[in-house]
Amino acid sequence: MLKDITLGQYFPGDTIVHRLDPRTKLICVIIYIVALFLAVNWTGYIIVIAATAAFMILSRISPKRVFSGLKPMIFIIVLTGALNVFYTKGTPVVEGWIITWEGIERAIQMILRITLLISGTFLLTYTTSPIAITDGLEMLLKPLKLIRFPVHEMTLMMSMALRFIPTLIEETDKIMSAQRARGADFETGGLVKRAKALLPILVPLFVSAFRRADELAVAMESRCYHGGEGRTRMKQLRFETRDYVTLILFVLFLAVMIMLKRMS
Amino acid sequence: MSELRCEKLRHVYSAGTPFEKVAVDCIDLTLPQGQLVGLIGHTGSGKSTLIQHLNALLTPTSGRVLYDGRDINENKYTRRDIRHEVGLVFQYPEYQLFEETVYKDIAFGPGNMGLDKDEIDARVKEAAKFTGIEKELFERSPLELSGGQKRRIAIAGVIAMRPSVLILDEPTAGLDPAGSRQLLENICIYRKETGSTVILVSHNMDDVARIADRIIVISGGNVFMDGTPAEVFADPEKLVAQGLDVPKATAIAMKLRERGVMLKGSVCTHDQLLAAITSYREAPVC
Amino acid sequence: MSEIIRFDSVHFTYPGDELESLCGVSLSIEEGSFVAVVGHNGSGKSTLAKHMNAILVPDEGRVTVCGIDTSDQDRIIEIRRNVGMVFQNPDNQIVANVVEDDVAFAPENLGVEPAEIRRRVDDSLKQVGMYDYRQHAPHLLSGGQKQRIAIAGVIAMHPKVIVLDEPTAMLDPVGRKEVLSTVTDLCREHGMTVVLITHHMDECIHADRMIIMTDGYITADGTPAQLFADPALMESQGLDVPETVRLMYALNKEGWNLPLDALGVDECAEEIRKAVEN
Repeated sequence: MLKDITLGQYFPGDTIVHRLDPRTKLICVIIYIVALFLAVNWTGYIIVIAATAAFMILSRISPKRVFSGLKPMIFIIVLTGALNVFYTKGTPVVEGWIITWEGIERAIQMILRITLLISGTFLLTYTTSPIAITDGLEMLLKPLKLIRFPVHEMTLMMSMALRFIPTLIEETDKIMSAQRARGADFETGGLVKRAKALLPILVPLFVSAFRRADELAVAMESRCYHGGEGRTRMKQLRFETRDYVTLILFVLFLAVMIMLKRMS
Repeated sequence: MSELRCEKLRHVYSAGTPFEKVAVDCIDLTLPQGQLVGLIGHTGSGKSTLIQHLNALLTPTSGRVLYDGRDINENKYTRRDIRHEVGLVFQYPEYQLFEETVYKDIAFGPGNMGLDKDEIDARVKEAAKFTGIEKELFERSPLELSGGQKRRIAIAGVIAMRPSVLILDEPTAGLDPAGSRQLLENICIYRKETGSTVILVSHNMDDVARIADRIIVISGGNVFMDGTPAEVFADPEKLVAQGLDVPKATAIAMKLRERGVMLKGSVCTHDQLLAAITSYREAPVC
Repeated sequence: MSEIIRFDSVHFTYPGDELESLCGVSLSIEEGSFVAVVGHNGSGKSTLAKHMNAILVPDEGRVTVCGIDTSDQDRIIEIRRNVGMVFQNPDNQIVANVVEDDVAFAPENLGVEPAEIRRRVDDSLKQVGMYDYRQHAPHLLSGGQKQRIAIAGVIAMHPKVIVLDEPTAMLDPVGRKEVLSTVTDLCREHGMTVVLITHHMDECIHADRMIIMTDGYITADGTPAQLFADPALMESQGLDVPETVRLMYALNKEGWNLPLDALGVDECAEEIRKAVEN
């Protein structure tokens, strides 16, 4: 079922990771991704894995939950692994085989890299509410206002989009069932037939999305929305000691990774 | 004569995850041809899940659904065919309209059944008649019509498949009083003329008490009560204890009995209440 | 009591429509009163509601809210802060992913101080009985709960009036009761003026005043008891009469002499008991 998709889902909690300023977490994720791509040998990977594990433990997000989030990506992960196994030259595992020791090592590293990349970003979305993420983004991107970039409008649109994803998914489910009840068939037939079969889903979905947008706009205006000007926020973002400490730790982490890369 | 039957039907959502939820626990039910059944229960009682099993939109976790003695989930063909026999109109069905014209939208279901043009035409016209859609609307876009008209078109789209069982999930939700009265009337006429089974899911106890032959109360994924309106509402306290509504007439009768006015018999409609009070006045029982 | 909303022969036609949606409506609503507006679909009820917070402004005539003319573009925020509006579909008026953030939306727009917003959010959520759900994701709540969140989001603006446009139309009986008791409480306990637009005649029973709209006109205006006492009138407007009144009316026809203003089930049963025992 479409409902089972957890991409971008937030799991409320009250751990130190949850309490970190979203800006801190956003910066940390960026550092994390850079660090991940700097990892070239096993030492590097072990450090990144350790960092990921530390955050998982601190945020009390079970590995099971992170892995279940990886499920939709499994195809890409397996494919990348396979390509690396088969297309890396080196010493064959058995004389005459196409599979090489180097290939296996590279494949494991690539799989690790993708898994860690996704897990890291999941840890961000699992522990940070979408609103907090957009708030953080809005603050971090504030300087762009100087070049007339509509930061507030952009981030508001993002958070609204996030807010309506579950609603629209549920709606899609409902429309699909309704059309199926009218004998619509989405599973069989060639490409053209299947594309055509989508029409009874897409048209009602768009119609309803526009209606929702319309009603939402009226509701927002009724609640005195008039753009970002003069707006205050209930949740003020403030860097606490824990944010500074985390940021320093991450800068150190990055430094170590750079050193490792240099040394290799 | 066709018969729809559930045998030890059970449905569990997200089985094996922390979000596991038993929606239908163990339901045994026989629905003979021609009844008008009112299906009532709380939101989340499992009635929506139950009705989606009756046309194989959902597959039971365990147990079976039989149509004329045959398991509807036997293979993908039986699953397809059952949808022609058991028509399901979802809540707010107007949101599923998609064709350019009213006519084409009503014809979508019969078209999927692979019928020829004349047959489709006959069915569209028949369905439009049952739901009170005038021919003048056929070439209009369904999207520009009023909410009540859209609702009728969506229902016509299912009726046009000539199902022998028609299930309607809260067909009058959001309609104004005149609109919902009219729609229920149409449904009653449809049932009378076609002899099909009609299952009406509703929160409106007054409607159900007035028009249903049989009422099935679902609670916690099980059949909680099953009988004629008089039988089910004979024990209103049992329903109230479940947090369910009773018809207004029944509620007034309950309050009267609390005050020592012991009305006779089961009361669930205006006429019954009126008769009970009148006869009590003539011959009070103490 | 003073007047808080005033319509002076208001005419309004939606762009592209031929028929007028409001045909010269005049109306005065008193502060602190509970007014129910009923009428068939397309009778102009929603259009009437949308004029109360300047979502729509009259083509002709004038709407005054708290002494402000709604066509005064410069004071539009002031008008909307004073007249909160709750709509039919709870899903389409919740903007945030967390309940308390949604309730904070309006005060944030008004530029209220953060600490004060926090206070208002907590108070509003407590008032609608949803404080325990402040950290929840709205899409996982029931319809009645979502609608109470929408109400909290409006009362966080500290409005004088709350206008509800068919707030219960999409709810089940449980949700309907939750919303109705919340709304009644706002009026009776907190002195807020309530304008409730509805299809459900039972919801009008507790109102101080009931207005019937038909095709853009106000066709009846009085206390619920007065209007329900005339079943012919209700019938002609395509409206229902509560079972209580219907019953007493039918009994009176058979020679009983029951008062038609016992609208509640308890009052009705009591009147019948009295009549039976005499």
